[in-house]
Order: sequence, then structure tokens, then C-alpha cells
Amino acid sequence: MKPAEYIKRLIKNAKVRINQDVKQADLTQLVNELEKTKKTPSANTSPNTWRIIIKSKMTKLAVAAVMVVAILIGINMFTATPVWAIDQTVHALENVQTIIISGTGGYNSSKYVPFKCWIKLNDENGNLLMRFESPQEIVVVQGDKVCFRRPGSNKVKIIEGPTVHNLKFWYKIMELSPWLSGKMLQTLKPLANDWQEDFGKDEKTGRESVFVNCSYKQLSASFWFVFDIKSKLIVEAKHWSNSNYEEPVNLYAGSFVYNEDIPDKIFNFEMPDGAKVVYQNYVENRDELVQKAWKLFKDNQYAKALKIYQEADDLFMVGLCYDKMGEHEKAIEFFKEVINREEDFQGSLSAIYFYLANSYMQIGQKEKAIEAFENCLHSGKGFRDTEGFPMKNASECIEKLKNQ
Amino acid sequence: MEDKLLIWKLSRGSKVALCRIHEKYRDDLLRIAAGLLNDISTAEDVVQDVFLMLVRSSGNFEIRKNLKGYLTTCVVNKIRNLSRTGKSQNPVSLDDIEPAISRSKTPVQCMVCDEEFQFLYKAMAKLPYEQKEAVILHIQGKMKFKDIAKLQSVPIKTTLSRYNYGLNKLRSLLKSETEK
Repeated sequence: MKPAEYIKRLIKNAKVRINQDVKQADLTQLVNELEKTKKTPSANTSPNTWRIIIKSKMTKLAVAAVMVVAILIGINMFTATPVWAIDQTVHALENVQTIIISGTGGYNSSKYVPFKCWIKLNDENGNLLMRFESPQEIVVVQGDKVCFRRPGSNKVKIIEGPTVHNLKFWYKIMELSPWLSGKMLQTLKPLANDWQEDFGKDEKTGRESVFVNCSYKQLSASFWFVFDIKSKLIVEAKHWSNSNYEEPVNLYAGSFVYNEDIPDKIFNFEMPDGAKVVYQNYVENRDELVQKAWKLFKDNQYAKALKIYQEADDLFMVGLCYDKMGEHEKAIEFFKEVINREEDFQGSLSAIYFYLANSYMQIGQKEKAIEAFENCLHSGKGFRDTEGFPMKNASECIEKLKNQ
Repeated sequence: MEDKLLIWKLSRGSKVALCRIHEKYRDDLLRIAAGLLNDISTAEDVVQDVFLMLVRSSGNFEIRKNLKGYLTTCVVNKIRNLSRTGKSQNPVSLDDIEPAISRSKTPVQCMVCDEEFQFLYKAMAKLPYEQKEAVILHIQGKMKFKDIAKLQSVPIKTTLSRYNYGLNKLRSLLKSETEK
């Protein structure tokens, strides 16, 4: 029999794999709920408090004493206020209308390319406009619409809908511009594993500055910011795609220009000749639908789940439902459509290739299965754990298929 | 002390405090809920409901002991309510979630990492609920037996026996699993 200590240790170390997307979506929902709560005045506020104070001599004295202490604490807190705090930057950003950021992006490789990013925080309709341009990608955000293409490619992806405004979206585009939103900065500090502030003179500008390091193990990201003490704004920043500040730097922003006029035409998105446009639909209650479908999927009710996934425009899950129902040819169609629609970014398609390969295997198309497994490995290389899903499984399947 | 400050800030609508509380306790609560329910998706829902309740009642909320203990109790009560209303019946066992796919778009989530943990969760699923609760709350939730007893509305001796029975059963179950 296993010793009790062994069991206790096993239970203590047992972990569930945290889905960061779900976690982030949950936090966003909580923040929205908090906003709502703030707008609704509490029903518990007692209207009689001041009446009680005025009527009682004892409480008058007690309140006076409390107020003296509060004032003293207030003065103490005021004198102890640091020369810089993240909230001051968030506040300063509220007065910023435009930002032009330029620097270099390594995209986790040793080859750095220059980038430039133009941001107008509120156009005449209150929308955010942004253009990010590098030799590798062009992204234009026009309020609720995001257009994306890679130079030289005629594949254009357009996402439309109010999801653009929620925090989850900002996390998604963090790789492009993690510092543009005050909202994000405010969220970065409490979530950081090692937020560190150092005060000193910036060698580049000779101005008093604060240097901030922070890393996020769960997001596999780390940042370095330089804030100008006088303006409170960010003047330099770096982003790594790991939580240890290990080279190569993913993105280095060396120049920030605030409140300069930016002509509106900068935010136009030029369609390439023969553009193949893929629209990612916005479905109003998509999260609810996906959640409902997922429960059915887990209960092996694939046909019911399939209908809801179709409604939610979740093609990958539609494919997987077909696969579970034994309709592998149809599953292959949908997996291929997802691969066709999506850009493979940092291994995002590796799991899709894995399921595609699996479906090919089911219908006995060995060569195509091997090819898809190899694509899975290629897509995930450098981004996914080689000992985890789907990399390990794909390697094992290739070996098995080749030995057959 | 930090928790009291966080609750005070939360009651004044501080998003920073909310994020901090969420980051500090969410994963631990999820681990406890997943262990009790054997279903990660329902566990996520339960934990989220508890946080929503915390946010909604933040204006008139007072913590007498510790925040983690309070949240853990809420999670446990919520799970008990679920089983009473029958909503958590036929839970999907962890080993059924072959490459599990989360409710969000991330394609693949493998929940339990290695074989030992697979055995452990399989064995846990076989424990009577009260024993499982005592084991998980004491070892994972780091709760004292007297607090668990209070939560279970039983004398402390009963909680201790449930814990010991649970642990012994797990030992024999794991032994038989590894021998297969």
C-alpha cells in the first residue's frame, strides 16, 4: 500500500491545467460586473447616519476625534506619495489623443524588422484608430473593425464586432502594442509576478525617469518600460515572449511621440489586388453558445453540439463534432477551412493540423496523415512544448505510421 | 491584512483589488472545485459564480476570518447545492476528457498531466463525497479540521474519521490501480 505521506504529497501537487483564455474572459466578466455594481447605489446605505451623529454628544466627540486622526493620516499619506505611480500614467494617458510608436520587432527570431504604429485614441465618433506596419504584417483597427494582412499575401482577415472593445481583445493584440492602453497598464501591475520600479536618469534623454520590469509567468511574457517622471508617459518599452527577460526581445519600442497630428488616410486599409477576404463573424452571444455546446460535447451529444457550434461559427469544433460522429470526410473539410481561414501565428494551427491528421488516419489516408502530422510539428516548433499535446502525440503517430 | 485591504478597496469599486483577489485565489479554488466535481468546466462555472457573488456583495461585505477560507466555503456550498438540484449528476470523469477542449476557442486542453495524477483523480472519484471533501479541503485547501467540521455540520471527530477513511481508501485504490 502506498504510504499516506505519498498520497498527501500527490494530492497537494495535483494541478489542473489552467485555461488562460477562460480565466481572462472570467476576469473581464467580473470587471464588467463591478462596473455595473458601481453604477447601482447600494440599498444598504443608511440615511440616518448624520441624524444619529447630530443628536448624540458622545458620537459628535467620537466623530471629531476620528476626523482629526483621518486628517493626520491623510497628510502622512500625501507626503509619502511617490513621484510616480502607475495610476498617474493611466491618468496622463487620458489626455493623450494620438501616439506614434516606432521601433523594431524580432518576433522571437534573431532577425529584427522595423515597425511603426500610429494610434488615434478617439476619432470624431469616439472610435480607436490604429495602424501597425512592419515588413511582416499590416494591421488596421478602425473602431469595431480590424483588418489584417501580411505584405505580399492577398489573404485579408477582417474581424468585425464590439468584441474589439473588450479587454480580452487587448490581450490578444498585446503582442503588437502592449502599452497603448491605460486600461491595460492598470491591469498589468496587480497581475505581475515581479513588478519592480527603479528611479534614475534616462541616459537617452537625460530626464528623471522610472524604469519598470514586470513579468507574467502564465502569459509567458515580460516587459520593461521607461516612464518619464514629468509627463508620466511611457517613452521606451520592450516586450519578451518569455517570463525571464531572455533574449531575443520580441518587440522594442524606442520612440513614442504623443499628441501629434496624424492624417486620417493613415488609417485606411489598402486592399491588395485579388484580395481573398475572410470575415470572422461576430456572434452576439457567442460565449454562451460555445459554453452550451461544450457541455453537450462532453456528454457525447455530438449532433446537438454540432448545431450550436455551427450557430456560433466555431468551425474547428464543428469539424471535431463530425469527427466524433464518424463523419471524417466532413471533419477534414472543416479542419481545412480553419487552416485556410486562419494565419498560423506562434503555433496556433498545430492542434488543428493534429486533428486533421487524425481524421485522415481514420479513413486510411496514411500519406496525407503523415503530411498533416508533420505540419503540426512544423507549426508548433519553438512555440509548443515538445513533450506535451499535440507535439508529442504527433511525433509518436508519425513513427507508428512510418513503421506500418 | 492584505485581504482586508483588498476587500475594503473592492467595496469601493477598485478593479485593481478585484484583479489581485482573482489572481491570488482563483486557481486554488478551481483546483479544489475540480477535485470535488471531477469536471473542470463545471468547476470553472462554480468558481466564477462565487467571484460574481463576491463582486455583487462587495458593497456590504465583511470578512471576519480569512478571505480564502470564506471563498472556499462558498465554493463547497455551491457544489453541494449543485448536487442537491441534480445539476452535477453524471459528471464527466477526468479520464473521459481525452484531449479536452475548453469552452473557449483554445483548441486543446489536456487536464491532468501525468499518469499518477490520472490514477489519483480516478481514485478520488470513487470516494464518498464527505470523505473526498475532508481530504481535499484539508490537503489542498489547507483548512483546519475544526473549520471543515463546522462546514460539514458534524463533530470534529467525524471529520477526522472521514479524512482518515478517505486517505486509507485512496491508498488502497491507488495500490490496485498501479498493480493493473
